[in-house]
Amino acid sequence: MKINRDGRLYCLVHSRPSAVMIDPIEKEPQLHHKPGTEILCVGTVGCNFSCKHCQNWSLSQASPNERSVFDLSPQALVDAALERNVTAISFTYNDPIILFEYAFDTAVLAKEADVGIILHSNAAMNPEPLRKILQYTTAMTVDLKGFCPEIYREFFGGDLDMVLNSLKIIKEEGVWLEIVNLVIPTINDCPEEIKEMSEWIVEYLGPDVPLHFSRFFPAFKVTHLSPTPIETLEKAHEIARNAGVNFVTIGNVPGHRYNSTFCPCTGERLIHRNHFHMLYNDIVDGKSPFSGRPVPGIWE
Amino acid sequence: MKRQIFLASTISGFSGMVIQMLLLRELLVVFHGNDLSIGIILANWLILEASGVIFASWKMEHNLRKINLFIGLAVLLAISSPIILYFTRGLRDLIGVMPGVGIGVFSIFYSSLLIFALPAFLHGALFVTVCRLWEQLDKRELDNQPQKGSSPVGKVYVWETLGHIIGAVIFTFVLILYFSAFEIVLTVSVLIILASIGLILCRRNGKDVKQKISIGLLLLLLVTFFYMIIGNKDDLLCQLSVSRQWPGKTVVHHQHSAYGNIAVIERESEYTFLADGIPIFTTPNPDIVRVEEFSHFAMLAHPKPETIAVLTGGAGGVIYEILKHPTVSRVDYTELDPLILEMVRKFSTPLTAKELADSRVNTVYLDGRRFLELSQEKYDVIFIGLPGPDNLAMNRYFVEEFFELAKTRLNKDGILVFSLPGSLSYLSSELRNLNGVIINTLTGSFPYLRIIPGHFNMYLASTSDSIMKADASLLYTRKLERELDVRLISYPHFQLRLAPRWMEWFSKSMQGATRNTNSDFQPRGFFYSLAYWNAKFSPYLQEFFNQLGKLSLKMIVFAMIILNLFILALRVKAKKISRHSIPFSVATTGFAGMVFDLIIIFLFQVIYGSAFHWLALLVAAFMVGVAVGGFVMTKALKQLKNKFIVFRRLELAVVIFSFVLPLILWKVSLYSSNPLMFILGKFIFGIMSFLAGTLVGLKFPLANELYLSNSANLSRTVGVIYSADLLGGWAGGIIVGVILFPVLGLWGTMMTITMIKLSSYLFLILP
Ligand code: SF4
Repeated sequence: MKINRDGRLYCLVHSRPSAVMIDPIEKEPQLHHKPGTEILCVGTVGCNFSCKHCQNWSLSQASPNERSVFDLSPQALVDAALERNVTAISFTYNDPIILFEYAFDTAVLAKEADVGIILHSNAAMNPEPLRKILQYTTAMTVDLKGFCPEIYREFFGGDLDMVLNSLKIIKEEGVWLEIVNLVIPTINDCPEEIKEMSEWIVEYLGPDVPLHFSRFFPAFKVTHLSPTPIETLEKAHEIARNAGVNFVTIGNVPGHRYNSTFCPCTGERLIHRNHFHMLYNDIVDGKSPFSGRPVPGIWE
Repeated sequence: MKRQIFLASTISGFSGMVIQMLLLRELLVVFHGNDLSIGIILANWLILEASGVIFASWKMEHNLRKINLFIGLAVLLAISSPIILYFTRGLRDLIGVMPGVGIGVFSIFYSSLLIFALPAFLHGALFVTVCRLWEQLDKRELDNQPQKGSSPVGKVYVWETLGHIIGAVIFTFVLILYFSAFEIVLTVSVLIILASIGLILCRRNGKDVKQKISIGLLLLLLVTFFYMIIGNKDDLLCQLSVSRQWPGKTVVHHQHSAYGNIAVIERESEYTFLADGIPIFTTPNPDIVRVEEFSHFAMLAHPKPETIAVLTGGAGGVIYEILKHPTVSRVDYTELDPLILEMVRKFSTPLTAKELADSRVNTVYLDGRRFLELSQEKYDVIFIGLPGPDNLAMNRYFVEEFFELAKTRLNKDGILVFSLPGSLSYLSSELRNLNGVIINTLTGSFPYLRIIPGHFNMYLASTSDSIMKADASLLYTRKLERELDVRLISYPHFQLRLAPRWMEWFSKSMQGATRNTNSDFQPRGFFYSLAYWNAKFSPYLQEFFNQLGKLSLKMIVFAMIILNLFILALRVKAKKISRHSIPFSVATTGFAGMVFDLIIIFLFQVIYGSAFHWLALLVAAFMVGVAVGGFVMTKALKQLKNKFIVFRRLELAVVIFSFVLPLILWKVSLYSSNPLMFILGKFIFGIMSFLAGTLVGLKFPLANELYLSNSANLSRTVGVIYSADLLGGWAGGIIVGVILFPVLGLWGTMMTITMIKLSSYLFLILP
């Protein structure tokens, strides 16, 4: 995605996104972030991972020139976001590290224009660029793909330690963070692993980082695996809650009770969701009306 | 002795066929079961068999104890077959593919070579060994006066073919239906050992200690195999191998049916049903988004859906959702393989029990397209529950012939519904072409088409414009009126999914898509589906597939003219190469034979929905043709005065056959809606298969004889001619499945065969 021209590296996907869409913010998922609003989703070709189940494989596993592109400068993106009155521009579909310069330039302009920036990332970034872009980032959704280094390497093509380190940095920099864990049967659904992951989150990121367990369906190269049983997701939910994670949800199972967010103190439903749609939001001034407990997130 | 040799060659043919078919089915569970995989697997068997033939031909020159070689090879085949079956199930692990991950074309190629390496090679080698045993016997009987006129190759070929036929028929109608894979393979091992013992016993020498030891060892093997079958050790092997195939999962059922392999996996009280290794649905918690969107968008787009047809893929949620509409009075649900629903009933959940027990649901075990042809019913909504034209059998539901049929079976305001692979971020050229070819085809029959883009694109087609008016508020109003109790479908969901921006984006993204259409005899839909599948697993072949899509008959004609000019120049310059005209002709006949065979199977699928059940008979008819042709020619060889002229005429007969075959099959398809022609057509397919085989069979002994007249070396002749035949067949298997039929269609394929055969005719007749 980069080319060396006369000793200078050029980003081949700068201002050349292949996908630009408007979606509900819940699809990201960013569930503690202005629920019920829309975001402008942007992605280019390429990825630093090679996940075998990647939904966006036709972009993430392609090279520049293999895919058609829009000609959209950072300013044009910000203008489009303003025009459509979206909550944020989200760099998603592929990993933002691939289009770092583009995302960074956009983020700088977006901050000036008071438009949010969301990065949906696998978080396998070096600390320096990560800290640099976080200065201009509103929120991050990180795919924590499991807790076993071998599986991380073999199945997703990434390095777990690097991801964990990035998560700590995001926390340190105070950027709003939500974590997604796609539970894939026989790959990363072992209860011990989920427990270890949840405990790590509580210890290093704090108990209030929302954790979303998502149901897997066969995709891309993973054609021979069954979907995740709902019971496995419910067990994962229970394990994470027992480990002390306060806001745990279940995704990709429309109509499931845990699509919604609950007050950790009283167990009352705070935000009623069905799939990507918010039905109601009872949070008042960032607090649970049932217990008065603050619910972290970006509400205004 | 003669009897034992004939028996040995029949058992060799039988074992070869059974092992090949069994491993083919097992490999399809590991791979993706499309026609490309089948072509590659069959072709690889052929090529390995040819290498066995070459090896044995060479070995025979130095080996006087033919019988020992036969026994050595046979024992190796008997022992290795169950082991290979075991490793086939663990193939993923063996080649380093992670559990659940599919396999690309290159891996399919090399791993099927790996699996077939021993059995196909050994089977090829056994054929030559039996030929030499027969020749040895002939020589002894005739007092060392070998008689060229009665070719041993021809005779053994006939017996071997007989074994193939018996194997094909018994495998399909008995073995695969009533026995487990390990029972089958162990039985084959027993037969092979029995054939070996028979051969030793007929040369019995009471003083020969080595012979006694051999018999003892063979008996020991026999007892071991028997013990494994009778002592249910095959069950243990089955369990062990299945757990290697699906590591970490509880496989509660695993069975081959007439149509494929069905497995059921249980995990956390959910059952996933797999057809040929691919999950088809999960109960009682299906993919809610897919099931609800697929069922309710179309049902709500119709003002009053009463009669519904679900052509496959209804169990596990779709029918359950359809039945929620109170207007529904009847759901005709077709499923070709009864085993799928047998398993759904066996591993019942409240959802499946409710949907299948409902009195409005009428389940029919028949190919959906055939059902529609036979049915006089008219429907308000017809659902096609298939993922897309993934193979030739599925392609039949996405062709102009089917769309025309569906149109006549829809009531006024009726809707045809199906889905195709899609994306909500980017449409690659493969996705564009796959969707494009079906859109082009569909719009030829239906003036109104509603597309709902998504991870799977939903298609609603109708002759009434009412589907175009079905917006979010209308669907929602109907949802309320019908009091649907659903989990996903809601007003905001309708708004999101039907937002005009998606359709605008989809239309823009579709620019540059193919203008081709899809038909039974030119299955472009299948080709683009293959290209899409290939882009996932073998992206390095993407450009090759792009170029392949542009291939035309004109290009083939041009290539053939160049080839013929080249042959001409070669013949003028190097006279010596004329002796290769015989193997070249055999190779092109092998190629044509394989193409005829596959085209017959493909078109059988197109007309009858599945060739699996008749596969054995079609293959057997071809084999009978080969055997009869071989037998007739072997008998006639002595009387033939000018063998070369006969050989040339046969070459022309193949050319003529390439014209006649498509014409006849095309006629059969035209009249297939007539019940009498429908049944008669199957026999016509069988007859054409027989005739195709006869042509190949007639040429084989003649080619041997002509080639032998230039060479005193029988083994070499067998090696060269048999290998040329198999190599031709191999090329036919690979090329026809991927390029010729899907891209050029029936007529283009047959024109290509005609041109290839004309080239080899030219090669033969040039002075
Ligand atoms: S990190 Fe995300 S975009 Fe990249 S390959 Fe994995 S799933 Fe796809």
